[in-house]
Amino acid sequence: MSKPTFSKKPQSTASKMFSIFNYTVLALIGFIMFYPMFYVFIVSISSAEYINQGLVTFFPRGINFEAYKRVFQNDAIWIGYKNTFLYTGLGTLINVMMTAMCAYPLSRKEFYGRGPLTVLITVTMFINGGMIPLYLVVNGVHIINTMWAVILPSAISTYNMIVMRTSFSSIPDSLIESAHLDGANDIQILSKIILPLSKPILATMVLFYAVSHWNSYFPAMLYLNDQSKYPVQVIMRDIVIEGDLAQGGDMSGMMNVISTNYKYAVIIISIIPILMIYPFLQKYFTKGVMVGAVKG
Amino acid sequence: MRRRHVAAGMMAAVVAATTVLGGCSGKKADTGSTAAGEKQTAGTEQAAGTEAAGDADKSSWISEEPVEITVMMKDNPSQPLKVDAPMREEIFKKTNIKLNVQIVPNSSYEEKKNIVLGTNNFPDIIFIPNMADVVTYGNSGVFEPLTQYLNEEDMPNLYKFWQEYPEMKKYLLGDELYVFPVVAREETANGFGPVIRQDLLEANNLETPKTFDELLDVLIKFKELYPDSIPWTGRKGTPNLFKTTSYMLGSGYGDNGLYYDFDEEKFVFGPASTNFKAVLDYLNRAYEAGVLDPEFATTTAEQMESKLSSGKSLFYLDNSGFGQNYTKMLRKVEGQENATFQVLPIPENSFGQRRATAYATELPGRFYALNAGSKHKEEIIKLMDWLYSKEGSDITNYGVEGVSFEYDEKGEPQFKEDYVMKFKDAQPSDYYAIYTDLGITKLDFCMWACNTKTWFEIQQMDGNWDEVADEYWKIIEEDDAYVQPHIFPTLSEEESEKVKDILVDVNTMLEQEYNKYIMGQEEIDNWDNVIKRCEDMGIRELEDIYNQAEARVNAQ
Amino acid sequence: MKERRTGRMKAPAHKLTGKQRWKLIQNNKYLYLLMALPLLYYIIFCYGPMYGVLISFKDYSIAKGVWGSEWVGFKWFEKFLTDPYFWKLVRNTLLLNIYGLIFGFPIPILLALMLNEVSHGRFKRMIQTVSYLPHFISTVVVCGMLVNFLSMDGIINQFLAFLGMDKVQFLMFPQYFRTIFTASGIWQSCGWNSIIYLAALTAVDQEIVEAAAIDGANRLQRILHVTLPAIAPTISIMLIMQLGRLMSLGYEKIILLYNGSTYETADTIATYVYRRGILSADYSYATAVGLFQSVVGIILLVSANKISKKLSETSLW
Repeated sequence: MSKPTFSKKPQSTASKMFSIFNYTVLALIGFIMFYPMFYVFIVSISSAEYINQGLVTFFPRGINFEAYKRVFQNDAIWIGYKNTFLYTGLGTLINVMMTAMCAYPLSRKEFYGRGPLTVLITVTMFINGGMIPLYLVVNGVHIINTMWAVILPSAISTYNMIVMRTSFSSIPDSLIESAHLDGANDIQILSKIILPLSKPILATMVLFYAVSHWNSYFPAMLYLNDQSKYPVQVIMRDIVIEGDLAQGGDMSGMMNVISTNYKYAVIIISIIPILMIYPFLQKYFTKGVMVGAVKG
Repeated sequence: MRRRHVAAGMMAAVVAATTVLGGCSGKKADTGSTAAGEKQTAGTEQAAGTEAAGDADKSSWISEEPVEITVMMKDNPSQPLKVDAPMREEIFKKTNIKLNVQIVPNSSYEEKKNIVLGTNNFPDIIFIPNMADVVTYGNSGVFEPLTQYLNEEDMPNLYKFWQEYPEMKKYLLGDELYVFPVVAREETANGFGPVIRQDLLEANNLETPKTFDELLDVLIKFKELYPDSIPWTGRKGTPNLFKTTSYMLGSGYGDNGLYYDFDEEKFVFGPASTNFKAVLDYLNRAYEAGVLDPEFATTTAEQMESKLSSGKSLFYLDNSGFGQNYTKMLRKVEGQENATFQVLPIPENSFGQRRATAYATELPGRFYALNAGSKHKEEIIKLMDWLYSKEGSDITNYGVEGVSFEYDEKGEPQFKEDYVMKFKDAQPSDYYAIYTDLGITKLDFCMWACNTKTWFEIQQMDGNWDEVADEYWKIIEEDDAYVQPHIFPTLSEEESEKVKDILVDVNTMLEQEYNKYIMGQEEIDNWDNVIKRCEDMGIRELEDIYNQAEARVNAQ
Repeated sequence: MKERRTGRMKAPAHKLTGKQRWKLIQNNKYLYLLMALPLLYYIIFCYGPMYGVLISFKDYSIAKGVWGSEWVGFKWFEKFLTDPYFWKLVRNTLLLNIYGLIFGFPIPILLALMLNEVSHGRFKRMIQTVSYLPHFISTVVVCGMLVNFLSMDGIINQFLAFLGMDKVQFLMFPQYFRTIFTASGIWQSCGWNSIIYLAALTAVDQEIVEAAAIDGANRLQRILHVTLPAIAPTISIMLIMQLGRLMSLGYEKIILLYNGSTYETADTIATYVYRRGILSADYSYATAVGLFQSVVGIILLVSANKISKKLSETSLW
């Protein structure tokens, strides 16, 4: 891809000022965004006495990896990882397919009934029957305690679907028309024209769905019964939220065993893999991808 | 190339999804929990192992054929439960009953429990954390009524406890018992108590305070000596501050404000009694003197731990057992090698009383319910009763005979030293590591359950027991101020509905008032107006409901 | 909008006869084929359980089930609407959402536009990646950190002290709550929310931007007159959906940050229902409140959609 020519021209003073301002503000934002995660990391490798004294702010103190060791001693976490990868991978694939299959017809003006259908679908963002009826449905289709119970009930996020549909609508109709005239049907158009032109939005969808699968614990907790099927978040969440939301314990003088560094090590371990997917998707967020394709 | 890829993948997914959606109605899927009446099959890929129990002693077998029973349990971050814990294998050997456990995360147990109970999709046995569930679900017929078995013949061991602890009658809903209550075995209980830096008292030649006023003076002295400190800190906000302090100070604040007053022998909604002014007054004086943490209403448990184990705070009034942990962490800090948190004998309050509430030593408020649709009711009743027996209890609290424990000459179980020593330096603590490894004690599937007994024995054996702990338990034991928590009577469904309506509104109003009084923005005497408002919102009616329910139980 | 040159039939505004309708459907049969699975999904997993909203008109007893429970009409709605705290709860919920909308909505757009102006590839990627990080920290931990940072010896008060100002117990006073809640919300989500706009920005025709530059438009003008209009449909749709959510707000973050002293500004519909639910599961009441929020949400959504349709031709349906 060729860079726009004007950027090679010497910049005007105003443009330079703009750039300086822009870079400074972004760097500042970057720092604010980065610091808390950095803090989580340095706490996770510091020892408790320094953390308690408030001495860990920019550098780790009393570096040790005990917390990580303790996390990895838990076998359930490894099984959980395997499950999470499976649910995230398969789930995201199904999500993106289903979302595209739903978004494309709804973006077509020729699709008779799209107005009422959109309304009916949008309504589901607001009204749901609650947990018990949904559980009965999941139970009714006999997928309780299988991975489908984690994947299928959230096969489409209406919100994401609308985002995708909006993006599809911005593709010029002329492209679709000419394909029709060439004898392509709508399934071919979707897979050969629309989707390749929509890489940025597809990358966005993959990111959104994958992250939500990765972070999801509630359906797994509800619909799965065997611990061997739990994703890693179900196991980790207990450690991270400790007793914060639950009602207080009734232990006789039991000590508080979840130390801060352990908790933070769990956070680091549970997010690193999902952070890794971003660099692979990043190349799709590049200017002018679509325009070039349309011309080509 | 790439485009074809997309199309192919898409078709494959469509086909896959169709098969899934279409296929699921036809074939019988391996559902984990099935409707009542059908037995659990989850997590039993391999058969129970007919010969596993093989040549073992069959005298305690409950069933000739191996039987599988599924239990839904609540996990615990301190003691993660294991599906294949040795304790469960040992139970299988002894009784020929194989326990499958469904382990539900602690933080989500409420939701999962409500859903499976609400849809009647729960396994043979389910852990019930709260009597409120019995009120909600008891009359719906999902639980097996147990009074029919509560006799010398069917459940001799439970029946013995039933007669020993008349308080158990409070677990009746109407005339019926729906839960197996866990009974504590030789539990030593501590409770909420004042814990202070003993070393600083000594270093500054300060007398051990005998009254709460003296205690406040000591803390004020601390503030003068160590101006950078925040002498008294707490956690989880104002309601928890009342929960921990107000009974000692002459009023009370139990669950959501309601507590049982042993001196008056009735239920009282603490904040709506005039004695509560003494609590507010005390906290107000502590606040204004700069002794009470200015952030008392927002401090988290984590911050409390930081402040106490870094030397920033010198006193707290909560679960007094935490202190030993803080002592250990504090001693690692430079210059604090001699720091010691120690519990004080309960001081006298402004009404001349010495009183405090302990944790339960008899009935810890954990329950298990039996699915009325279970296919193995007969065996389960026998199993549960066996778990209340000494043999059952020994196994569920000490693990495997010959591996983790042995019987001494008196026939009492004793941990084996070589086993215990393996966990000497385990994280987070030696006893939790052992509990987890074996799957034992109160937090696992245990009916006559140890908690402190095994803990003390383990630590005394592996050398983690220290003088501070020794002194701590001595002080607690010798202090006659502690009373056992009073078990709340079980309300009817209409009563609980009424109680809820009153409590939510009253507490929403009260929680907005408390801090104003503690921080001195309002005169303590104005609290009478607040009490008046509580009364207008029906607080006396709420007290009556509980007192009548209590009378109802006592009449039985 | 350009006139579309097309030989195929499209849905005209006027009413179709049965025959025409059938023809239209036949011509586009593959669209219906594509739609089949998603539709099945919506029918099974979204509409299938929807009968559950009935319990807001019933005295739901778990034992009797949804169908067997007694009808009580509008009892729960009445209870909620006449609750002494009702207006305060509605006000707080709306205000927290409106703050989130006014400040939280434009920031991801700004961030996306600013990133779009960065030509230095590595810097851009770094800032982008870093800006998503807060999204991955769970609410409980974020709130734990907030309480730490805002405490008397937290970094914010240390900074204030450095500037010679008085330390403040931020979480104890109702006047700070909305700011804390909104600001931390923006911090946590703005990077993540900017992704959608970044994706939309990739579709902006660079030739037009270039042409504008040659015509003498400066960078700010190019952003305002070329780039921004190009992503306007995405912005409108996002705004419409956000408006539909004005009445709903999760409880988790609030219960971790509020206390009795700040109820005045912090107590919302969700937290109030949550406190009721702690005492004992409150299905009918919670469902009735949820339905109330949904209905308000739908009304807002429909109105916003109408307005948008009039103003910009962008609409949800």
